[in-house]
Amino acid sequence: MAHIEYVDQTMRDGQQSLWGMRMTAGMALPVTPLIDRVGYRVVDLTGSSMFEVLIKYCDEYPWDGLDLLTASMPNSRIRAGLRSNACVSFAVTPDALMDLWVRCLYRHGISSFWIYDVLFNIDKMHRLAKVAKEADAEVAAAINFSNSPVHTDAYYGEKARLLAASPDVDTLLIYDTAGCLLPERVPGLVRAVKANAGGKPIELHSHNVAGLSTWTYLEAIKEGVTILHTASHPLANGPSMPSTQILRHNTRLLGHSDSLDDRLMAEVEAHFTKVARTAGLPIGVPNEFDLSAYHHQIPGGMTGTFKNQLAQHGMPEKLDAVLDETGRVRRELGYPGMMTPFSQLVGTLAVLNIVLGERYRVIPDEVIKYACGHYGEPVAPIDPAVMDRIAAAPRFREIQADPPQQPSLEELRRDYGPELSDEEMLLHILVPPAEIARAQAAGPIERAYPTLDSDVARFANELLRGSDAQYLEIATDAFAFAARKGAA
Amino acid sequence: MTHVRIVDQTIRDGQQSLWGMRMQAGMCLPVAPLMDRAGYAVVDLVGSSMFEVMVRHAREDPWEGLDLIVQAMPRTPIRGGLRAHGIISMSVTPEALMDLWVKRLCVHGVRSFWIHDTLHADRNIAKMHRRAKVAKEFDAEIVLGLMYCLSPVHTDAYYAERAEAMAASPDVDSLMIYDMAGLLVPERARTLVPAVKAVTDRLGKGLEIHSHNVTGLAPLVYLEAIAQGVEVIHTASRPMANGASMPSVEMTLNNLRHAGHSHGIDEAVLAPIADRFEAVARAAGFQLGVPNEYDLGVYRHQIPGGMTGTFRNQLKEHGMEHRLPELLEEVARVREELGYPGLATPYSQLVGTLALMNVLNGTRYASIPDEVLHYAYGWFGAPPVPIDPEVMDRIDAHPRARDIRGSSPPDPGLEEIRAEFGAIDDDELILRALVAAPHIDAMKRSGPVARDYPLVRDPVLARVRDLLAESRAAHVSLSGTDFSLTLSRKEPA
Repeated sequence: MAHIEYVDQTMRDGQQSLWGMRMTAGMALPVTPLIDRVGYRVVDLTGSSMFEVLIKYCDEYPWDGLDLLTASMPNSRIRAGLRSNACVSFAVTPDALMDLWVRCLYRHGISSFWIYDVLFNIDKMHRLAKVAKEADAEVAAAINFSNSPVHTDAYYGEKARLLAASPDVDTLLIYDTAGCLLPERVPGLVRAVKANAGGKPIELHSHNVAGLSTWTYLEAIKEGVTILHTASHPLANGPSMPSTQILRHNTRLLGHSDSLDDRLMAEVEAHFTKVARTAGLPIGVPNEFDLSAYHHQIPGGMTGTFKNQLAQHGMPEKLDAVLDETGRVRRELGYPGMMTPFSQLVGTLAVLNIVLGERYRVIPDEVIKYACGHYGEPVAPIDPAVMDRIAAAPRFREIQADPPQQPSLEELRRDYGPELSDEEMLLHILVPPAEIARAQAAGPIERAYPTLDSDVARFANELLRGSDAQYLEIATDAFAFAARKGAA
Repeated sequence: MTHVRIVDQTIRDGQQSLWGMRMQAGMCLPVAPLMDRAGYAVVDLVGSSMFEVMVRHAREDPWEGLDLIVQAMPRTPIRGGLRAHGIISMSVTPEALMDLWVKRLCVHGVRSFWIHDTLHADRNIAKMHRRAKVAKEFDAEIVLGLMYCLSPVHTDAYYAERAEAMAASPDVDSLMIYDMAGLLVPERARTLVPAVKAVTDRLGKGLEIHSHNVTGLAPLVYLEAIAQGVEVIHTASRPMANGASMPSVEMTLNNLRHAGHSHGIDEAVLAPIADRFEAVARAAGFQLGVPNEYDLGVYRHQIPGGMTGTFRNQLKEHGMEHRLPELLEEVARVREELGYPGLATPYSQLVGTLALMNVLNGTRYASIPDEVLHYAYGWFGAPPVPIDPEVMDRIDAHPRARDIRGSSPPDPGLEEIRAEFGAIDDDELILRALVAAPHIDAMKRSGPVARDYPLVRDPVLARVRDLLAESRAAHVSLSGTDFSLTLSRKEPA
């Protein structure tokens, strides 16, 4: 029987998948001291996109929030994620800045990194791992799982061998973004990775999009995987991972052990449920098994984006066409794994192809950059006919002649402004200065989030939100209640 | 690729699994014409327990409700279901009454029957065939259920052999693999379906599958079953699907399409049907179906979802809620000792009650209900394997054993039954056999069946109603700057 370890995804991929990264520090701080003691192997917490969202939409200065959160979890190994060559969706970030991200995150309490690149730029992944290791952080190198004729067990075995070759890589992480890793694929895949892992532990992260991830995890345990990525119940399921609760229940039934504290888990669960209800954010619910998820492999959030885009063009009925087109475009572009930035790249092109009524009539710059190898080598060659269309695009020559630059840190400091601290400079890559200033001006980080834990209060809250009224009073024989909209 | 036909379970097992059979005719009548146009092979609708619940809790005449729904669905065959030897929960129903039930359903327009008994005993199959013969006189379709459960006895060979016996009657049109507890997994479907299909093919019978999506795997089971030759599957409208219910028709059609199969369903009518049932569920405070997390515990205890809830309530009454896991273990043990009956009515209640008594008494088999004695002495047919000898000794030693052993269930003829109930028509006779007289009288006083069900369309009003329920106050008043609202509780009737 195995001892199962858990990587808590509640505050990172749980909320990224379900809350659109809108979790502020104050929403989590009341329970982070509990999370710190639950007994997780690692607590995943942050990434550059979350920094971006916090500044843009939550008026929160992310470095300050991160400091409070890491300080409240002194016993935990806290993780952040990095793409090997970028911190903003479509751009390629210079190596010097990526290295600086690692160093700054470490300075702010991050001691574990997961590094990914769907196109497997192994050199870049290893370079970041080295920087992390210099700071004595743990490194998980991601093997992004995707279904295609090229993504065979042998392909993943080879990637595992290459990734594990660096002494700076501690674990290999099988990362199933679209939830398309079927239980029946697990034995072949895990054996191929394990055989090439050089004895390094294997982690598994699977989005429960098709409702099968829990089963997938149990199959993986049979193959010797003992590190699972899960989230607290309200932030689990649907597009998120399986819940820690159900995995713990199932693994215990199978006779495996773990070090989790049930009572603390229950308190954390209750807290985030209250936060979700108060903030009007979704609570995760399992999905019904959906075969189409395997066909187009579109990450959960993207379907929503497609719907919005099609609604804007007055073509809501074209959703199925776009989903099918996504599968086709992905094949023609050489089967990139459907993860940032390639999911967006493939998705945007699919929407354009359908909305314009002609395939590849408009080709975004990012697709040209991809075709020119600026993001790395495609997994399989681009379809020749499509490559011809791309090469014929007006911007092709210009972009081809302008591959991403590798300025030094000194040059970058000069460009962004020598007066900026490392942390500020990193934020300037993500968002316009005015938004950073606004987040800074918003004042100190809120340390809590007012949760309304009664049906009556929730009702009043909803009623106020839904009406033009500024003031609401509810009186019954048993109680009186008054609420006013906005700040006091 | 297969042309798959769909049996709609929205208003039978969907609402049985999620609404506790509380669906009144008016809740579905406004969309019944749409359901009729959807292109379902069959719409499942009736069962005797639902009749019982309608009378008892909704004070609604189920025959009148049935007539209204049948009239609203002229194109689609309506299905009724029955256990081989019972329409009343824990007892064996007289043969004459069973026959009458089938006849009256036929007269009221039921055109398809599914008949089952989880013991699949020879005697029970003979009873199924007798029911089938009665229904065939009305030219109704007959489907017999192979009730799927897990045990060392319930092998593919067992099901193939039972299928052979069940399909032997010329009155039987199809068999149905019926996975009541959601225990069937795709891997097992890969061997079970071909084993049964070989029999049904040889004997020229159809094969349906019905699986509760308890673990979330039923959609995969369906795809596997179709790959193995099943052409008829059971689904429900989205709000009435998943959780303890079957897969949703919406997602099933999507999956069929992606797997390259065809179907004859008009998808345009599905959304308004789903909207209606969702609105009714919200207005009536019924559960909406949501998929479950994958829980291995389901396979361990094989206890239908509804039963676990009942157990929790029963233990709560005794202040022993914390002993639920122990009770679930005991259920598995008692089931094994009683010869592995499949856990559906009446055996689920029988095993459950005994397990509960064992746990509460602290001594196993200290008290044994009469129904267990009936079971042990063959009233319900032979168990799949003999009862554990030690347990059989305990049963033999019971004071009531002497009376029950060698006896058989009372089986009065129709004339005797009629004499007992007095001068009433057959429909009322059936109702009176199912529920106590005061409930029937209350039902009769409540007037004709409503054709609709009032929906609270405004979410604010819905919350006010919740608030009123929560506060126990006589009145709730709400005042905003632009509105005020006062609600007062009606005096209880």
